[in-house]
This record gives sequence, structure tokens and C-alpha cells, in this order.
Amino acid sequence: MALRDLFQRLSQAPTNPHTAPVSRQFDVADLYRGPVSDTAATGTGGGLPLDEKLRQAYFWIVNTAIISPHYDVEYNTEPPRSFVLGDSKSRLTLPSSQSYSSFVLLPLLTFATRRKCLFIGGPGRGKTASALLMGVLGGYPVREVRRAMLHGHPQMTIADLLGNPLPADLVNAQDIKDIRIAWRGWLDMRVKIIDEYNRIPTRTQSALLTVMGDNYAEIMDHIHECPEAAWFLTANDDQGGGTYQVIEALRDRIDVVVQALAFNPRFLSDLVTRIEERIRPEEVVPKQIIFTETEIDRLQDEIRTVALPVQVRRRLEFFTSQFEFCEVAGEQFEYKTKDTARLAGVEWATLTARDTGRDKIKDLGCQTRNGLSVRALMTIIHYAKAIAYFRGNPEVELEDLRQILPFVLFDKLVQDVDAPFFESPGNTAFRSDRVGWLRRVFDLSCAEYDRLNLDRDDPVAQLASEFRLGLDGVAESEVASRLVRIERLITDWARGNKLYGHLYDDMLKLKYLHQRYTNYLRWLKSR
Amino acid sequence: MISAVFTAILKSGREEFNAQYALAKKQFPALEAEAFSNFLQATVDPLVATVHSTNPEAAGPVAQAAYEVGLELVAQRLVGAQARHPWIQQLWDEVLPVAEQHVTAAPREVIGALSNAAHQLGSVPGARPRDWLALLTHVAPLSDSAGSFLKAGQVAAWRCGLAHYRESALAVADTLPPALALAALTVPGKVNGDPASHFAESPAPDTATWPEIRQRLQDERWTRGLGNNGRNHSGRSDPSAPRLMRRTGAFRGFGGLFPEPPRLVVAQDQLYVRSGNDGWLLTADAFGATFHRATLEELAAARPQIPQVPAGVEVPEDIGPVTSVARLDHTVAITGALTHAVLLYAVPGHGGEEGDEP
Repeated sequence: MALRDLFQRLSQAPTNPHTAPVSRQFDVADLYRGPVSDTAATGTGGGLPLDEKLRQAYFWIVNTAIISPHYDVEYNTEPPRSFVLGDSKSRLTLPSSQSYSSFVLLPLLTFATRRKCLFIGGPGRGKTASALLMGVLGGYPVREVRRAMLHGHPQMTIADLLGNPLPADLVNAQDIKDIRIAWRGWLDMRVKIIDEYNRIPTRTQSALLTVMGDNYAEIMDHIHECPEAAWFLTANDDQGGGTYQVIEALRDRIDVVVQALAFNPRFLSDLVTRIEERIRPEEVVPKQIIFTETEIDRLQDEIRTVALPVQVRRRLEFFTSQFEFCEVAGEQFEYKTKDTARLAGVEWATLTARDTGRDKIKDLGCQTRNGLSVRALMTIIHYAKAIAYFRGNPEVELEDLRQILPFVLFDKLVQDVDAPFFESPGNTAFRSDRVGWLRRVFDLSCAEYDRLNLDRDDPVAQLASEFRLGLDGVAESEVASRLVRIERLITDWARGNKLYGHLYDDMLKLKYLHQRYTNYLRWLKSR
Repeated sequence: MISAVFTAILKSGREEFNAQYALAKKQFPALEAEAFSNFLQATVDPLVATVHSTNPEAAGPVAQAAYEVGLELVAQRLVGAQARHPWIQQLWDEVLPVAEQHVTAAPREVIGALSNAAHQLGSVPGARPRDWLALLTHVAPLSDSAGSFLKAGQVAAWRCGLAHYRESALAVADTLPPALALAALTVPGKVNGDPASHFAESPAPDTATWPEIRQRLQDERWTRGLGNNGRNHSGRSDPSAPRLMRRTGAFRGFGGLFPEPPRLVVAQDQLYVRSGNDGWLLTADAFGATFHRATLEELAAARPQIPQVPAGVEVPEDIGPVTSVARLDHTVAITGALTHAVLLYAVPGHGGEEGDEP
């Protein structure tokens, strides 16, 4: 560059940059916005982004439809203020960010993801009313939702549940295929409500299981396909206090369990107004928050696009690893699981008595009688994405996982109430507070994860990511080197003596990698 | 006495209507049952009866929508005896029955949207809600759907004084059939007895002229684009000089915005007016002038211009010494020491010919 050019060059950047205010724009669409709500500008809410619509639905229910919301799903942007009260040192936390009521939020996320939610709690706490609201949000008139709601009772037959063969066809038909079935209307609803499901007789529960699990109903070789739906079930007592014991498979199909918490009498005046003014929230749901079938389809698609970052996924993996491992349940490495013992019918007390000298308070696996199923994990991921979407975030945060996890695992992770952990001071309340217990277990798992420094130093994850790059073109020497690394890692860990759940799963993963590399090496040598 | 039709509708949805009232009462404790009852009887009932006479099946949905919107309006005292202005009530009494086909097609949207618009026109100083209601009555039979009727209403609102909607109203006009766009900007007869009315007694322009009119409206801020409503351009003293088009703004003590004589500043090619500690964005064109509260950022970015009156501008003596001048491409604005008004002049080439002035 010539000297002259240097002197003539001007700075490309602004010399004293200020943010210029944007010229104000006016939109004539604002003409139709004003004191009257729900005008052409907002239409029926169709113009809103769906996550915003979902939030509006949530806040309408919390602020208008239900009395006495409990903000038990807590989020904090900065350390919250907390207070210790009473002899038992109860802690009251005032969250520093927008927090939510699980009794409203979880059903709403269930509605958005078309999954299955169980309301539990004593009679008259609004379980059925909340389920009704979800039906109305799904676009059904209140009367239709009420009529389509199934009420469990001890005499409920499969015909009551699914439908009846037409009597005339029963007499005249020459073939079973000629018998037409009058299917019950609720089967075609996109929001299905079953009140007091634990009062349904066991045989009828099995028919219900087919509808819940496989989305079809069957009578006399006739099949009725049901649309994808959100399910809401209620039970006064989820601990087998219903008329019939709920079959395990049916319980397992339920994705989240939400407890209807007690009414706070400080809100009695609202109750009085409601009685005096004859307000039934389900009858005055604003049109803007009612979702069409297409919108719910779109909601599901949008929720699925929410990312689950690797760091968050690893915490879930580590947490899950804690529970299934049972060292004394099997001789072969792969069978050292609680499920092996359960399938063999080994008494739990016998099993725990034989357990090795692990620290039973520190080992989180000692607090449960089972591990997590694949279905439970999938449900956690679905709901974690849904809550992140609801909060307007493009990816799941660790706190989303922490908040959602207890409601999914509520009745899936079975406590061993005799475990030493629950005898420790301050932990006895966890025997009855399962939400609190599951949050504590997750926190302990995350603390252990941090202690092991797995975010920075995770050799199994490194080996796995190397393997995910593929084996094409990997040289024999490289494969041999990776095999040596795997064996050396196992040798190092074997020196630690104690085997915990997360190590057990890591070992199985290493074995898997070892096997894949061994097969590949063999193939390379055979060429 | 409520008609049998409306009584039957109210009875059939009694629970829901009562629940809506109860919910509104909770939200607006001052809601009076008597006022709402009077509104139902005097305003909603005739509308329902009109709809029922031509389309009995539509009476129910219209009644439902009218009840919902009416409840919100009565609760906020925007209709009835205590209303701040009469325009929403007049909309319901005079326009909705005429626009019955559109009300029937989309009751909640049409009634709610037009009520909001009437409220806005009634609340903006200098806007002409009476003209707007007349225009709505005019365009209702010309619109082929509720959507186009509402769009025509938007264009008409700009025409009736809401100058800040100029750009977006023009864009909306582009989506309308030419005849409807022209109708939204023209009323065939002067509105009787309304001195603020701008409508001239002129025949409706030929739809073939719409592209030309549309272009003039786009290019010339101070033209009404309609052939000056039939007037010719003769008699112009000096066509090369800015022409006084409008005095806008007033002393707060007389119902205006300004606590003291205002001063003009400019930012981002927009006029801002400062008076005391407050500031407003001023938008103006041939159809009206509106003020909008300015943000602190906008005021901080705005700068005064040298208070030199451009050549050819005739400054009235009654405003006293000129205190500030602002020049935009299309407009010159001037303030004086003895007035709380802002004087707006059309720059030549941007309309403002004979007949375009107020």
C-alpha cells in the first residue's frame, strides 16, 4: 500500500458508535386492538406462536380457573431467598424466577405431548375438574367432555368400556364379521378422561390397557382404531386403596403422576365468590387458548425439535445408571441386575442382606427396588423437551430435567423404605414425599457426577465418540491400540474394588466397544 | 322489553351467560347489572332481531358475540350513559345493523374489532369518528366478505384522521378491489352538520383512476389523491412555496397535550414535539395529525434544527416570534412563542394544492 493511500484511508468502523433508535412504525392492524379482547387481530389465538398459546393457557388456568395454586416447580435465575421454619427445620424457598404449579403444568404438558397423566389426591381436590379443563382446551364442548368421561366402578364391564355388539346382528349374523359393534364415543376423543380408574375391575383394566398401550379396541374380532390422544386418569389413592388393585402394566403406561395438593383456606373468599356467582371455569375457557387438532400436531412436532444437549443427557445417563445394578443378583456380569432377582422371585430382604460392603447410604442404588425402564427414560426426555418448549427455550436445561423427573418417576422408581438412607436424620420424610425424594436423589447423583469430574474427564464417552465416527478405513494398528486402551481402562477401574451402578454400565459399554473392535479386527485380518 | 327471539337465546344459554357475567364482575367489580341489562335491551336486542329477520340461524352466534363484547364494553364504561364518548354506541346502533351480513359471517371478530376501532377514533384528538362510521355504512354493502369489510374499515380510519397508519393503510388498500378502496377513501355526500367533516359533495371516482390516485397518495403526503375532491387547482398564489395545511396541538388547560408552547426536534426523518418535560412523535398528512408519546431514547436522539423559516413560508402573525422550525422532505413545521399549536406546511410537490387544505 502506498504511503499516500495510508493517509487517505478512513476507518470502516463508526468512530463513536451509538445505537440509532429505530424509526417508529405503526401498523393499521392495531386499529382493531383495544379494550375488547379477542378481536380479529388476535382471532382465536391462531396467530400466536404455539408455545405462547400454551403459556397463556397455563396462566389462564392458574390465575382464573383454579384456586390456591402451589408453585412447586421452582426455577431460579439467582440464588433464591429461603427461610428455615419450625422444629423440623422446614425450608421455605422464594424462587427468583418464574415458577410453576405442577398440578396445572404437568397436565398441560401431557395435553401438548399427547401422553398420559394420573391425578392423585383425596376427593374434592379438583382432579376431575382439571381433567375436564384439558378436554375443553382440546376443543370439545364441556357437555361432550363430561359425557365422554369414563367413571370407573366395580361393575364396569368390557362392554361398558368399549361398546356393544348390535343385538339384531347377534341374532341374525351368520359370521362373526357380520356383527356390527356400537363403539363407545370416548374412544374417538383426542382427550380421554377416566375418573377413578382404580375402581375398574381387573379384567376390564386389561381391555383398557390395550386401548392405552396400543391405541385400538377389540370386540369380537372387530378392531376400532383410536386417534392419538392425551389421557387423564384420576385416583383417590394410588397405593392400591381403590376397589381393585391396578395391574402393573397399566400403571406402567401412565407417564406422569401429579398430586392434587391441599386447599389453602386463605383462599376461601375466592371459593365463596365462585359459589355466589356460579362460575364454572370449564364453561368460560377463552377461545384464544383452545387448540385445534392441527395445532396439537404442530405442538408435538415443535416440542420434538427442542434439543437435549450432551451435557444434560450425560447427567440423565449417570442418574439412570445408579439404580438397576445389583451385584449379588447374578453371577454373569450382564445379569447383575435387580430385574434378574425380581424375575427369579428372590425375596428383597434376602437380597439386600447378601449385598456387599458398599456404602449403602452413599450408593443411590440402595434406595430403590428397581431400575428405570426404557419407557420411563423416553417419557423423561419427552417431558423435559416439553417443559423447555413451554419456557420458550430451544434446548433442555439441567433444571428442566430436575423439575420434570420426579413426576415421571413418581411410581416407576420403587423406594426401598428399609434402606439405611431413609433412617438418616432429615431423610425420613422422603418415605412419604416421593417428589422431594426423587429431586434429592437427582441432586445427589449430579453432585457425584461433578465430584468425578465427568464433564471434563469421561474416558468412556471419548471412546464412544471415537467409535461413532465409524470403522471405515480404521487401520489394524489403530484398532489394536483402541482395544488396549479399553482393557487398560478396565484394569485401572478394577483396582478400585467397589463396583457401583455407573461403573457397571460403563463396563458394559466398554465390553460392547471391545466386542465391536474385536470383530472388526478379526475381519481385517481375514481379508 | 326484550324480544322473544333474544329471550329464547338468553334462556337456552343461561348458565354460560351467567358465568360470563360473573367472571366479568370478578374482573371489573364496578360492573353494574342494570347498565348491562339496559345495554342488552336497547342495543343488543335490536341487532339480534335484525339478524334473525334475515338469517334466523345466525341470531344465536351473533347474540353470543354481542353479549360477550357488550359485557366488556359496559364493564369498562365505554357504552351507555357513563361512556366517555358516543362513538361505540353509535357504531352498534347505526353501523352493525347495516353491516349485518358481515356481523353474521364473523360475529365476534367484526363486533369486537369495530368496537375497538371506534374507541380508538373516539380517543384520538382530531380524528373524525363520525366520518368513519359514515364510511363504514357506505362500504359495508360493497364488501364481499367480513375480512374485506374490516380492511376497508382500516383504510377509512386512516382517511378519517389516523395519519400514523398511512403506510400500512396504503398497503391494506392494495389488497382491496379498486372500487372498495376508493369507497373507503370517499364519501359521496357531506356528513350533515359536522363541521369537522372533510367529505366533499362529489361523485364517486371512476375505479379506472385508482392506480393514479393510489400513486398520488403514495408520493404526495399532503394530497387526498382524489382529484382534490372535484376542485380545480386554480387560484394558487405561489405554487413553489410551502402551503399551510394544518394547525395541530393545543394547551393542556384547554384539553390539549402541551403544558407550554411546544418546540420541534427531528430524528430519523420524523417530527418530535417537546413541551415541558414531555415529548411526542407527531405524524401528519392530508387526512390528519396524531401525537404519540415519545420514548426517552427517541427524545435523546432527536435534535433541533436551525429555526430559520424557509423561503416562501407565510407565518401567521398570531403565533408570535418563531421558536422552532423542522424541515422534512414533505413537510415544514413551525412553532411560535404565542401559540400551543404546531403549524404544518406542505412542501411543493407533495400535494397541498387548492382543496387539499383542511
